[in-house]
Amino acid sequence: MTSYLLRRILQLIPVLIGVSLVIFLLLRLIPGDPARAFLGPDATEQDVAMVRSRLGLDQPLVKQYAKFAWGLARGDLGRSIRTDARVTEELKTRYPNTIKLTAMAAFFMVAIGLPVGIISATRPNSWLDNTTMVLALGGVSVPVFWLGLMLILLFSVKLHLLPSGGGDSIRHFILPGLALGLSSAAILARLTRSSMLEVVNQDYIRTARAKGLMEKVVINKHALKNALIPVVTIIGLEIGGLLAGAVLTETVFAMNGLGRYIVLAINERDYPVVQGAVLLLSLSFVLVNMVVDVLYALIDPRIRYR
Amino acid sequence: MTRNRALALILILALALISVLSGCSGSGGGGKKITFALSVEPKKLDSQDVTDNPSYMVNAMMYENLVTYNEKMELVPQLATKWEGAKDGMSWTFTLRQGVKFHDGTPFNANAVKVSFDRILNPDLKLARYSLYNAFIKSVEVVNDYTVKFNMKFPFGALPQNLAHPAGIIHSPAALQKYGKDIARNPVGTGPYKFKEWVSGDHITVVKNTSYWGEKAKVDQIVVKVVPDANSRVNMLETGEADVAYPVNASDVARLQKSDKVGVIVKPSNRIVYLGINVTQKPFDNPKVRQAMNYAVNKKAIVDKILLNLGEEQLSPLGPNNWGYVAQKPYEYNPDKAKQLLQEAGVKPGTKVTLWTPDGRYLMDRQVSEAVQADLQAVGFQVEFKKWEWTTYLTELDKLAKGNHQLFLLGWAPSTGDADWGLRPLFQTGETNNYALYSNKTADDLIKKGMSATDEKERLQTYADLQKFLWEDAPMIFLYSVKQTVGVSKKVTGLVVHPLEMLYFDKIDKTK
Repeated sequence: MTSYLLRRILQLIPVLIGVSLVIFLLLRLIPGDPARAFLGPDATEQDVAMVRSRLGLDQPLVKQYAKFAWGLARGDLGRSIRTDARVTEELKTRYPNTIKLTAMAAFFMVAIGLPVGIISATRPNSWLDNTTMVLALGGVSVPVFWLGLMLILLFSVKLHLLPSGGGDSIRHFILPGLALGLSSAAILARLTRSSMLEVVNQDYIRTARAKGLMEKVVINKHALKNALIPVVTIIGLEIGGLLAGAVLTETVFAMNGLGRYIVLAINERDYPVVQGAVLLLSLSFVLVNMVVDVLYALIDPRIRYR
Repeated sequence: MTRNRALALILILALALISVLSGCSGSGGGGKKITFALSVEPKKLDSQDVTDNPSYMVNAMMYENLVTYNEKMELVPQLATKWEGAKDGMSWTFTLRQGVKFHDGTPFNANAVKVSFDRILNPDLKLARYSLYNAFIKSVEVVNDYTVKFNMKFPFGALPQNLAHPAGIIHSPAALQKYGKDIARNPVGTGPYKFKEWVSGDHITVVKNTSYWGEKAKVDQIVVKVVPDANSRVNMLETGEADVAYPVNASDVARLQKSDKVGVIVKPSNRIVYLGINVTQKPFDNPKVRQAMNYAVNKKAIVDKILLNLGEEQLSPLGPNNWGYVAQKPYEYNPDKAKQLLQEAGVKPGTKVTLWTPDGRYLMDRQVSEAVQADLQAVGFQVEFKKWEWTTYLTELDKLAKGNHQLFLLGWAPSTGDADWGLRPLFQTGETNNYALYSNKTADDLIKKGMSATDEKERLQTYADLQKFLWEDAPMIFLYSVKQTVGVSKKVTGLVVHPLEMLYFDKIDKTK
């Protein structure tokens, strides 16, 4: 297991180099000049040329990439074009918020999606099953910004229970986490249900029941564990999706997160910021997937890593 | 059963969490605090090195200029008490206010003025506003501790107006020495508020300057919170999480005006939004064609139906609320007259033109462009429509001199509030924002005359003539001027919404 993990971590390096190269080139393919974006429409061409040279954008691409890569190797992501602040500093204030938001959303996803899926699967085609599955379908379809605004309207504007805007305390993450996590919870519920149903119809479940085991043991021990592999996979993928989906949620709830920041940076052609932030997100995504792979082995003893 | 119990437990825990957390809702802390929800985060707190209004707005809480504009756009003293131009227009002398100190304790004097202007005029520093002052200031001279003289490169009458520009701030020379480039994150001025903290992407806090030379601030701190989503800004206003929200969506204005807790301030800005015409291209080189297009567009319908009256019909090439503004006789909506003029100019029906527009930069810009498209089609043009993402659009406009653009929607708000900067960049041959590639001897001469005149009456007359001339020569389709919408809690008083698209917080107050 240790050597497996080590190998996986080493594999990160080529992945990150690849990501850095792709994002570097992609950014420069977008039309639009960062210097003009910084200065706005009323600056002179002379000013724009001046700022371009200040930012080193007049140098050949190879040289620019070399500078970026050399900085990266030393953990320096350069300075933001917009604000001149260090990109690492800018990311430091925002990344924790996105992680907290994603964690909160993942919590709601699992806390709602998993039990609902299991309950539905144990009573297939009952009114409970049908109702929850229709609700789940609704949950998948509802856009997160609309749901977010409705939650704000209900819990902040009408009931004054929770704040509508971003902040540091955990209270500020409840509504956004719910808004972001609900559609993933719906997906998870549907998947858990179908995965469970498949397992429940297997011969060994019939055998377990024939042995006279209690239903809860049959479901929790024999069925759930076997149904969990696809479920964990989807949880891992959904967390990646949540990281990306944070953009809209962070905008609606005025949260100072990475998603919102990347959008702003792309609009302003703030190359160093987009590069740094995308690298950070890629890293997070790869790490989550690694954790999922490790979880497989814990859930299913038949899976072994060497 | 354990399953159900586990479920119940989760539910109970979640509910408990919510109730505990909502119990400990926001404690006020000491003193009066204003929370300002702003759509865009300032770039840098150094007005010499930015061009965006959010930066200027927050900067103005902490910094002051030699002179400034009051709400009625009259030039008034700030750090200078009086000023005088030389007869030949080649220099201006300013007498400075005495007994003023920067937030770091450094005394304000003529040297501080010189250091600040030498900084912006230093080509090696490559500051964003370098060319604004470099265009006409030759040097800054310390006459004595409280007198400073600006030498001009040529006779220049609009210096005081230009010094009121946000980039005309005076930095603490000691702070500049200490922080260098990082002054943008450690601002030190003379204003009514002092810098406290900036948490990137989240908020900027300023606190009351208790040793301010003038009328002291009435609130103890202002928190400028970055809230990009318009709905969220309004929500925060309604929940009391924000006291001021800027800007507010046009669609929310009517609803908020009926609320008993919040209100909306609607104030005209000095910005025009116009449809530029590349006058070097046929058939637009003919003034008749340009006039015809002005008759063809129903501007009143645009203002009423699309802008919901959050704009006004443009009545001069210069925006309203600028010094020297004179309203002209409107081009009334008259498609028949337009058709007739086009016929006289030999423009055949079905002539193809292209129209470029940004989407979401100015109030209802794309929708306005679509209306213009329809109106132009109605008089016989075949209009090809192209929508741009903002930064791409700006970069594309830079290439215009080489390109074959025809019609393009843009806004212009002279940040000096003066006729010179309101007209020169748009209409002088070869100037920065002259995307119309307009070049006319009469206009150029009048612009030069207005620029060098130091006598106020002469300047006024020159700009009146210039506006009349440009209005008739019509190098653009004149569209509308913009109104600003600011959401404000009813507890708040004293907020100044300035025509230069600035909010001033020095007199703001809040009742409990």
